[in-house]
Amino acid sequence: MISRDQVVRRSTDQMFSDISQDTPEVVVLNTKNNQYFGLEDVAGRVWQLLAQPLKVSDLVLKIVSEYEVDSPQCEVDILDFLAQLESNGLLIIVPN
Amino acid sequence: MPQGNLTFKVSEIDTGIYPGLSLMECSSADSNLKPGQVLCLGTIVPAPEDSPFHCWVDSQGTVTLSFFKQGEKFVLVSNNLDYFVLDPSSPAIAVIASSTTPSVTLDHLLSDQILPLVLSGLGNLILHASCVTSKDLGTIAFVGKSGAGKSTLASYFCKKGFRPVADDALQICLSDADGKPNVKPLKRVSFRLWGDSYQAIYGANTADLDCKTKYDVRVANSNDEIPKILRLDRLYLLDSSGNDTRSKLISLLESSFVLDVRDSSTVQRNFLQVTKLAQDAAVERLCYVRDFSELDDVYSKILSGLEEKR
Repeated sequence: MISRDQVVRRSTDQMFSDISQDTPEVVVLNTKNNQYFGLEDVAGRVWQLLAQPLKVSDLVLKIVSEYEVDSPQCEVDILDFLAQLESNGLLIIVPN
Repeated sequence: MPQGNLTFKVSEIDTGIYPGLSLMECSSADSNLKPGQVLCLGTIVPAPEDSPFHCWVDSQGTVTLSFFKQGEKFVLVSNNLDYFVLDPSSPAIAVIASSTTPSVTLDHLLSDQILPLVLSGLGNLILHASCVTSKDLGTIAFVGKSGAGKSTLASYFCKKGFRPVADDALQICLSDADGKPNVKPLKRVSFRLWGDSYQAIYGANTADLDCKTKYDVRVANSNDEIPKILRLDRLYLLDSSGNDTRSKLISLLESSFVLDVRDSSTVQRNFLQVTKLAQDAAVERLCYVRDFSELDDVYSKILSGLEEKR
């Protein structure tokens, strides 16, 4: 379970291609099981922002400022998305 | 691994289809073989107990090729129980053909599936694609699974005056001074068509063709007709995924030949190559549902797109 106070970063077992044109668009390869993932729009933007280790609450603030979205809902959605990335081996929670 | 009633048969394999790869037939291991040469012999009987680590499945859900690993060796098994053994420590490919496989089918398995996998294993980018070219309109490729309609479309374009470049497997060369991808035409191309496709394209005199049998349409290219390398102008994807860049890239990744899908460095190399291709090439999705009455429409649309570009 990921919480808003944790710091997360991309896993090292991945490589990706940023194919963004008008909107963020990324295809990620999990190099451990060779599965491909397509991330679009907000998901693609979250992936771009994760270029550096980032506190989840800061990530939410950034997304709320870029997209006109409701902050509590945005946090729920981002936590859900980060959990999906983690379960697919694409995201690491940085230990304190 | 499936067990077949294996009888070794020397097939009449066409030589020199792929530039840079030569086929030869031998009765025993020959230490003078150079890398890239192919040796056909029938001395290895695969063990039946393994399960495949990967399979190719056609658009109908039928497994067309099963991938096994025995030690360092790859054993590829066709749905007709022909065995192809690739040993990374040797430049040879062992072929153990089922007694019921016609030579022409074995020839196709080697030229359209096994050799492209070998070429891919040597670091080349190979796509499941059929390709045609025209001096005036350029070179286009149809990318998709077996049964998606690649060969039908390519044959139809050839009937209309295009020249064949490749069927089923297309070798892509990424690096070019102007950053555009090129393709390597095969010296000889023959399209494999199901009976109904054959009938739709080549007319009414073929009424006795079986819809469930594949027929061979050979189209010879004399050396002066087609250059050794061609600029690839456009790729058409024949699957039904989305039209966004991300889905197109994933379709191209899923349409590339990879010998060992479990090997990270191979998959990563392929990922980088396909990403580069997707960046450099014009990739479009083509709505073609293998309805022969639409062939002329599809042809006209593609043609007007190509003419517009020129």
